[in-house]
Amino acid sequence: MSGYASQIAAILIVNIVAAYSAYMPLACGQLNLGIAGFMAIGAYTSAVLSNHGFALEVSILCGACASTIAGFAVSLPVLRARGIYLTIATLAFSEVVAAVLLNLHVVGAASGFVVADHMSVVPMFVTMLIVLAVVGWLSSTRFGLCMTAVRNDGRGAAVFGVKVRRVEVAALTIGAGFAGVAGALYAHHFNYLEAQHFNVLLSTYALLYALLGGLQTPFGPLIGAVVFTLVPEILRSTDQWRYVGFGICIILLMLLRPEGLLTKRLIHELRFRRRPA
Amino acid sequence: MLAQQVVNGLLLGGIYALVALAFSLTIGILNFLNFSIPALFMLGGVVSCAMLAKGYSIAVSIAIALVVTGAVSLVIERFTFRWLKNVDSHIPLVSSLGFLILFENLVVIYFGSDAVGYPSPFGGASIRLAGVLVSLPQLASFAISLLLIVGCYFVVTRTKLGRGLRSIAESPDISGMLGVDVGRTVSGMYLISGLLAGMGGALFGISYLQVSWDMGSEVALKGISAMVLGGMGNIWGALLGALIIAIVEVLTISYVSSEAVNVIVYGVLLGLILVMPNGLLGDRAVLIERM
Amino acid sequence: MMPLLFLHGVSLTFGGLSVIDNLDIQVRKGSRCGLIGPNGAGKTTIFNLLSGVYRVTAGQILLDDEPIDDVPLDRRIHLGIGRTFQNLRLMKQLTVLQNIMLGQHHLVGPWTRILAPLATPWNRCWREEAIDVADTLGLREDIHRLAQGLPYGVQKRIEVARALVGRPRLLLLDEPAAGLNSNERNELATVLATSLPSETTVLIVEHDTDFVRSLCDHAVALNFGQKIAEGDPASVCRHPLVIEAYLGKDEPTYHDLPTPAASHEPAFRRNDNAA
Repeated sequence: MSGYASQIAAILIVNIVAAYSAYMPLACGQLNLGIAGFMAIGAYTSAVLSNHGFALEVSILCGACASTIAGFAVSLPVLRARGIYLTIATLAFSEVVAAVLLNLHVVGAASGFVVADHMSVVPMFVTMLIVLAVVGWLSSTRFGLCMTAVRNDGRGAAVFGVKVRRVEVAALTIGAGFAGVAGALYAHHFNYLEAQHFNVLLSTYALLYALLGGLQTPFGPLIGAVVFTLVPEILRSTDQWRYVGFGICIILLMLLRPEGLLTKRLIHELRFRRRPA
Repeated sequence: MLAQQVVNGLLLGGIYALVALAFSLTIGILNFLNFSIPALFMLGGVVSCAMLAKGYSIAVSIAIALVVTGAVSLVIERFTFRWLKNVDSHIPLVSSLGFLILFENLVVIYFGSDAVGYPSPFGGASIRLAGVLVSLPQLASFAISLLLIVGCYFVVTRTKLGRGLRSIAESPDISGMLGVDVGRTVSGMYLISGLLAGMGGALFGISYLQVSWDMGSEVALKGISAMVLGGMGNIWGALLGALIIAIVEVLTISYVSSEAVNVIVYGVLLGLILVMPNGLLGDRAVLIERM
Repeated sequence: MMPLLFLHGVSLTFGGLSVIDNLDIQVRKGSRCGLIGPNGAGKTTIFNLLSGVYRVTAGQILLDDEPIDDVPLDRRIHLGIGRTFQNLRLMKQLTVLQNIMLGQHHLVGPWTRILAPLATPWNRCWREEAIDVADTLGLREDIHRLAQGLPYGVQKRIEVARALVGRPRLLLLDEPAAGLNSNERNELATVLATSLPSETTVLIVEHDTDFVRSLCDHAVALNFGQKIAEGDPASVCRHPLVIEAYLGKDEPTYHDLPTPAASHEPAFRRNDNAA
């Protein structure tokens, strides 16, 4: 695989995992703008461990665990806030994490942190497949049913015995875990971390991949990440114009097709059309 | 010196207050976090800067910047806002993010990604008041901000537009039935918040003599913090919150370090939401009842 | 015989507005009880009190001699209280079958809830039970369609199926026949008459007095949050206070001819004949 292609593949893989970390709370109706913070926790934890000689797999697993624990710790109080307050609280959390890391000289503070161990595209791809498998499995269980029910009508779901808060906490926690994985993958492929990278724009992009791809099916975030990572590359436009295009796409999609690219109806239509009339 | 820093903070807070107020109005009335407000803040600063660089006077430059900001905010309204019955409330928020990304990157393309000096005719003129060095442009900006905020208060409480706004904040559907011209009122609201943000950007340029493509994002989070601190939808709360945030920021920079600012400001914001989500002066109900 | 459901002096006030006023209702186990009354009488409010959406301001609600007022909303279904909603609360992005399976959520053990994909053998019995209930309500062909966009009559039946599959001991049906045409109405009445287990106690809010008379063995009439009549459906429907509540005070209308032998219940009789 050429250097350029593997670079794109690596970015795509990280974006896909990040999109799923945004998808989990979104599937329950929660907008989480703190993804970058959890990515940073996963990235730095795994980087520090692998720099100290731990095996790559162990480091990444620990990075994911760290961000999962952080996600759980944050989601319990934060989910007491509702709607917009929740979004702002997650945003504030992410900024605090980035700011703390910026000041932490142990991990290089403002001058960045070098990660020794390199991870090539193939193991990254395998990790991504594991994440996709977990998402697919969860979506096919009653838990997945509950997530959609909570998103559609939280109160209504509660009438049928769904413990709404528990579902939301679980979703946010799992999402944080995925974010940690994404961060760890990023750290070990690009081998350089700086706290400024984990800003609100990063959270925003992860969120947008999931939203633009569509929340109604588990494949939506995958489509969203693939389309919005590869299309700018294929168009080979300069950095700024591709973001202008991205901005325009967001505006148009929210106006014309706010449910995202991939919807359940679309899948049903494709399925029913394939059957002989 | 403490007094000096407090004064600096207060003057900075005046500008944050405009952004906080713009956010607060949108949340109070339309119930979403409008991320295009930082974009309009940035446009106000950048456009007025460009006009000044072309040789226009300060008044004309700001006027042009306000016209541009106002026009853009109406375009944004056209392309965002729809009264949807089953509103997935993230739609207008995400749409506004799209506008933010769009405008920030357009500015990078046309003006570059470095900060640009703001050719203000007032420069850095300052006077000494009671031993404290007060920058005149900053003082004038603060006065203008206050005027705008008071003006906003009068518009919301005394005018027909204001009544329409408060009515929509309480109940969008019934407002239409009661004869409120919902479309025009909402446009009015976008225009007001856009002009507040744009003016804030121009004032920022005059006060701190520098604009950049990301000045909006920087101020946005502080504006949001101020809004939450003062209570969403609360006009005076936005001002109070902004002043407090700005003073905390300035004091942190001088007594702790400039890197610690974010930790403290956002740490306070996070703590605040968890402990006192209605802010210091109370939630959007205030917009409707007391004020 | 001990009533399954006992509303004892129940009142509900919002601010200064009294919505339910000192209500005393007893429902025997296994009974089918109709709740009738004009719009705004408080019928759906009673359902909301029973399912935990509202809390009583005064009085007590006893289910099988146990007070339920302190049980939170998401635990009420564990008490065996199932309900449908007047304004349809289906999950738009779930299929018909998934909506029905939501109704059995409280019956499923915790690990099956999380770990087992719905399509696997672990969940087969639940799936089959849900499909059976769907079948009873004539929803078999639609089970894999999205709930959103289906005809109104079908959606109403999904609501009933979802409530039924939860094996409730107290079933609250909120205007199950509203908006259905007469064929659908008759079908629904037949289905309800045959498929409800005899131990299930049913409370039905309905405006259609024929529906109530065909299905119920007991009726309670409400107006302005107060009980105005109680007894067997036929006599409740004929009760003067009930007629007054629905049709207004008996004033002469232009239909009445001023003859000495004119009866004082012309309006009601006319309806009765037309039905």
